[in-house]
Amino acid sequence: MRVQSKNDFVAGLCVGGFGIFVFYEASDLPYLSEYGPGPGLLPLWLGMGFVSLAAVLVANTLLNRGSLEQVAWRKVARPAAAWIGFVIAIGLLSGLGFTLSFALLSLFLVLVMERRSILTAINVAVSLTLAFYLIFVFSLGVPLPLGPWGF
Amino acid sequence: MEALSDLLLGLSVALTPANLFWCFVGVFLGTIVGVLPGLGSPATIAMLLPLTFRLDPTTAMIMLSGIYYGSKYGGSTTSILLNVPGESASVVTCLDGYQMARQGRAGPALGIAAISSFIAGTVGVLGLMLIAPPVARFAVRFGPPEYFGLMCLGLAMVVFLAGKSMIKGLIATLFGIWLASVGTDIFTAESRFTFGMMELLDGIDFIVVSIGVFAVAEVLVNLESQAGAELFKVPKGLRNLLPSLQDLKDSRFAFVNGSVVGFFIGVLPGAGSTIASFLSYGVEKAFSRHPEKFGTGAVEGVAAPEAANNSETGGALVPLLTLGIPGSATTAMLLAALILWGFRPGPLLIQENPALFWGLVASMYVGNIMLLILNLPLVPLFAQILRLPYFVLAPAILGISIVGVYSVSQSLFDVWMLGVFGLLGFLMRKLDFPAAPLVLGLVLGDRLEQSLRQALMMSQGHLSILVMRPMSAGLLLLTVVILLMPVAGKIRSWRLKAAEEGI
Amino acid sequence: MRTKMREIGVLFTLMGWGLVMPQAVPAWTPTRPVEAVVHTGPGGGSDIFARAIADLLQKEGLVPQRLQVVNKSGGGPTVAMAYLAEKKGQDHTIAFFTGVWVTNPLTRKEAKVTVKDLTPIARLVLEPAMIAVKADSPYKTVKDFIEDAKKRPGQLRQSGGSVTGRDNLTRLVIEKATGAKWTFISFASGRERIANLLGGNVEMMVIEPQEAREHVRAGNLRVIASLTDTRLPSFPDVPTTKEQGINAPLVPQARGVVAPPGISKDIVEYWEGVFDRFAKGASDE
Repeated sequence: MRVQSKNDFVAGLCVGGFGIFVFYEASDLPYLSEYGPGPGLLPLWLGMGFVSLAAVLVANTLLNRGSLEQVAWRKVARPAAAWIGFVIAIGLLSGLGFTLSFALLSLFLVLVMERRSILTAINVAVSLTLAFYLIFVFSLGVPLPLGPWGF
Repeated sequence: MEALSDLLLGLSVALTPANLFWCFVGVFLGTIVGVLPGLGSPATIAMLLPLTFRLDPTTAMIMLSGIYYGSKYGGSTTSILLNVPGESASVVTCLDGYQMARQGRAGPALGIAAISSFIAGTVGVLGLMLIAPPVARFAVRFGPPEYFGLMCLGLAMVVFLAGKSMIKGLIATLFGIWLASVGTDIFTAESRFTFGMMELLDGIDFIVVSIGVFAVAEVLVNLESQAGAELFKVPKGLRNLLPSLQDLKDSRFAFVNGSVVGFFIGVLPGAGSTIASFLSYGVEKAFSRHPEKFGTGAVEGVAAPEAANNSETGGALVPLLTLGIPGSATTAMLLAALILWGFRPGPLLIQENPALFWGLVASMYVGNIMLLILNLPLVPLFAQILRLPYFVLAPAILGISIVGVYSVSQSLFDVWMLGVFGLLGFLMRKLDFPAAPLVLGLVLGDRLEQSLRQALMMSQGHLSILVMRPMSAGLLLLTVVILLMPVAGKIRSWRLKAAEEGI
Repeated sequence: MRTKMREIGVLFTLMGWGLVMPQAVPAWTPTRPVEAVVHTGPGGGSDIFARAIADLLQKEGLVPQRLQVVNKSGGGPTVAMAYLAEKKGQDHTIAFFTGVWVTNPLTRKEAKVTVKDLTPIARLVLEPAMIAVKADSPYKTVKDFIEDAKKRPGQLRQSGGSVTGRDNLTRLVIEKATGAKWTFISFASGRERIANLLGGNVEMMVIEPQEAREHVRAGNLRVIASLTDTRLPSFPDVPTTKEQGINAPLVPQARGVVAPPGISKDIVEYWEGVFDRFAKGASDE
C-alpha cells in the first residue's frame, strides 16, 4: 500500500510531535491549584488532543482517505524568497527605521520578484513610501520605528 | 410612550448645532481609525480624552461614542480589499469579503458592509433605548458556567469554518487554543510556554496572528507566480460598485441575525465583538439554503458579521450606562471619561442624568445616518485601489501589515511574530489547513479556560455546575446539536449512497 | 518722588524674585514630551490614573511639556519595570507604580527588576478599600461572613483580580487572623469582578469606595467593613475591620511615581518639586 498523500502524512507527524511537546511541557505545570483546576489542565488535554487528531490524520493517509492533492513544492521557491525578503526588512526596522526598510522591501519585491524595470521599481518604492509616510506618520502621527536620520 | 417623550428630549440635545458638529467629528475620526489597521478605538479615545475637557460632557460623550461605533464601520474595508483584518472583529469579514473582491465584487461587499452596519447599528441603539435595564440584569446573571457554555458554542462554529477536512479544522482550532494559553496564567501568575521571553508574558496578540495568517500568507500565495495577470477583476461603471437588490434580499436574514446576536453578546461584560461576529457567521451558515457558498464570496457572509460587530456597540453601552460596568475595553475608557467629567456612572446614571443618556441615544441614531452617508460614497473610491497592479499592492499590503501590528503596542517583537505567523499561514494554506478555526480558537481559548476554571472554583470542583444551571445547560446542549450536524449529514449521505447502490 | 517709589517697588519685586529664584528655576526641566510608563493597557486602572494626573499637571501648568502615557503591559508590571530598567540614566521618562510593583517581583521568576532598582519619586495616594456583599446577602457584618466561612470552609467565594494583588493578600491576612477559609476566584477585568458579585456568583469582594458608592446608593450592594485604620468620611456608618474585632494587618494599595535607575539628582528634585506642589494644590481643592 502506497501512501498517497505525503503532505498529510508529514503534517500529521509534525502535529503529533508538537502534541507530545505540549504534553511534556504541560506535565511540568500543576494540574490542580488551591481551589480548582491548575494551569496545567488545559495544556495537558490540548497535548492529548493534538496527538489523537494527528493519529487520525496519519491513519487516514495510510488508508488512502486523506486529500489526494500534492503540493507542487517547486512553486514554493518564489514565496520563500519573498518571505525571506520580508523577514530581512523586519530585521532592518530597528536599524534603518520603517521608511527606508519599507522602501527597500518594495524595491526588492518589484525588481527581483516581479522582474519589472528598475525605473518602475524605483517609481513604486518611492511613491508607496511617500504615501505611507504622508498617511501614517505625517497626518496620523502613528509611532513607527525611526532610523538614525530621524525618519 | 415614555420612551418616545424621552427620545424627544434626547433629540433636542443631540440636534443642537454643537452636538451635531462634534458627533460628525467623532464618526469621521472613527471611520479613519476603523479603516486603518492597528489604530484601535480604545487608544484613540485615550489620546483624545484630554481635549474633551473643554467640551460640555454630554457633547464629549457624543463625540467619543461616535469614534467607538464609527470605527466599527470602517473595520471591514481592509478586510474586504486586502485580506488585512483591521480590527479583531473584522477577521470573519475576510472570509467572504475578500473572495467577493477577488471576483470583482469589492464594491457590493463594501456596500453591504456599510448598509449592514447601519441597520445593525440602529438596532443596537433601539435595544439600548428600549430594553436596557432587563438586559443588564440578564448580563449580570451570566456567570462563569454560562460563559463556558457560550465559549463551547463558539468553538462549535468550527463545524462551519473547517472546510474540506474536519480533522484539520479541529487541529487548527486546538492550535489556536494553545496560542491563547501562551502567557501568564491569571489564577496562579504562572507563565506558560513563554520560553523565557518576557515579550510573551502577556500572550500573543490576536491581531498579530490574524494579520499574519490572513494578509501576509495571502501575499505569499499570490507571489507563487509572477503577477503579470490581473488578480482582481474590477468592473467598470457605477452599477457594479454597489450592492444589487438581489444582494440585499440575500442578506435580509443576515441583518436580523447579526443585529440580535451582536447586541446580546455585546451586553455581556466578558464576551466581545469578535465572538459575536464568529457566532453570527455560524448561525447564518447553519440556516442558509446554500451553505456551500460560504467562504467563496457569499454576500451574507459579509453582512452577518458586520451587523454583529456594529450592534455590539449598542449592547456594550447597556451595562456601562445602566450599571456602571463597561462591556468592553473601549467602554472602559468611556467609563473613565464619565468619572473624570464628574458623573457618577452606576445604576442611577440614567435616572439622574436623563439628558446625557437620551442625548447620547439620539445622537447615535443621527451618527449612524451620518456614517452611512459618509461611507457609501467612499465605496467606489476604495474599490479603485484594486485597480493597482499586484506588484504595487503586494508591498503595500506587507507595509500595512507591519504598521498595523507595530502600532498595537510599539513592539518589534510583534513584527517578528508577524513574520512567523505569515510563514505558518502560508504552510497551512499549502497543506490545506483552514486559518479561520485557528483564529477562532485563539479568540475563545482564554475565556474558555478561564470560565471553566472559575466555574469549577465556584463549585469546589463539581462538574455538575455546568449542567445544573439552566442557561449553561442550554448552551451546552446547543453545542452538542451543532457538533452532531456533520455526523448526521454523513449518515444521511451514506444512507443515500447505500440506497443508490441498493438499486 | 513717585518715580522713586516705583523704583523701590521694582527693587522689592526683584528682591522677591531673587528669593524665589532658586526654586522657580530648577537645575533641570523637561525639554521635550515626557514618557509616562504604565503597566496596564488603555482603560486599565493605572492608565486612567496616569492620564488624569498628566492632564491635571498640564492644566495647572506644573510641567512645561506634555506627559505622554506609554502602555507597557505584560506579566503584571514585569514588562513595564524591565522597560524602565533599560532606560537607566535617561531623563524624560517616569512611571506610575502600584502595589503590585512591589509584590510581583517576589513571586515571578521572570521579574528580575525590583522596585529597589528604580528611583523613587513620590507616593501620591493610598487607596482605601472596603468589603462589599450583595444587598440581599445575609451578612450584615464581617463577623457574619467569617462565622459562615468557618462553618463551611472553602465554600464561600470572593471575586478579585491577580493572586498577587491587594484583594487576595487581604483575604490571606484575614484568613490567617481568623482561621476562616474561603475561595478566591480571579477574573481578568474589574468589570467581571463586580458583575459576578451582583449576579450572586460570588459572595464577597474587596472594592474601592468610589466603585462601591453608586451600587450602594442604588441598593444593589452593601459594604460591611472598611479596610482602613479609621472610618472613611464617605462611609461614616461602616465600621473598620479592627472595630469588628479582626486583627489582621491592612494591605495598602499605593499609587505613585518612580523613575529609571541612575538618573541625576537634579531630575529627582525636579519631579519631587512638581509632585509636591501638585499634592498641595490637590489638597487645597
